[in-house]
Amino acid sequence: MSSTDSRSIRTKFIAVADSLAGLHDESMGDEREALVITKAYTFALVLGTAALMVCGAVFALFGYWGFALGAVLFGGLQSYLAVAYASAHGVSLFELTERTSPARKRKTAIVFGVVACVMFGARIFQMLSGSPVFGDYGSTEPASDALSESIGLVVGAVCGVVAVLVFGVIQKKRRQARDLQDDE
Amino acid sequence: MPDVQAGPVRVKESRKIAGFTQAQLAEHVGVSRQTIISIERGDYAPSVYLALRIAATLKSTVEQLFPLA
Repeated sequence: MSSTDSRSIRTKFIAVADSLAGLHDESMGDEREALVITKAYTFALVLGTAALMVCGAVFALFGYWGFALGAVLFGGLQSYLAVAYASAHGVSLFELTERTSPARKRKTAIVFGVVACVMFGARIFQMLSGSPVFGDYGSTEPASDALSESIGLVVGAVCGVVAVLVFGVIQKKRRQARDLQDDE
Repeated sequence: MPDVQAGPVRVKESRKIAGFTQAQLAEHVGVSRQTIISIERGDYAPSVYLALRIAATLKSTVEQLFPLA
């Protein structure tokens, strides 16, 4: 794909996104009001994403895995769209995220870590006991190989976390190398 | 980056000298009255274009209305 095609796609994506969001609508008010509205929706998005994650964990505890997965995927979709929109404007949210203050990083890690642990624990509990932590939705007899499946799940999760960490380090080193090249 | 801070905003004084009410100035420059109030209080730093429109309406300059400290 040529750079002109790529720019054209980005421009169209931004135009569609702005139109869907109503950014150029009269209801956005003047520039100060537009800024406040944008901040308000950012705040709502952050809280909404956290709420979706918590809902996902609660659904998992009650054995509603379809809803749990839906909540987590929808939260992820919101973040993905934000990254795509910023990227179309030439802003890398991934690079900016690295500058997040340590306190904010800690809070985010706690929320997502607790949610992930709850969901993961609920899954293993249901695999071993055959019923969810609360209620009896989707209860079955535990499978004969539930223990080995649970161990497999734990190993898979650990491998996933390690892969994400390694990928992050590789990306960071690539960016540092690119920055050095830019300086030269 | 040079350490420059915004000084006291002088929109209110200039608006009164020019004989505008907040509502009239807001209408002239195409923003809400609340936005003019926020600018006069120093709560909101307008864009370059809005600052230029305000300065032109009040027959002043951006530097006079929004001085650096």
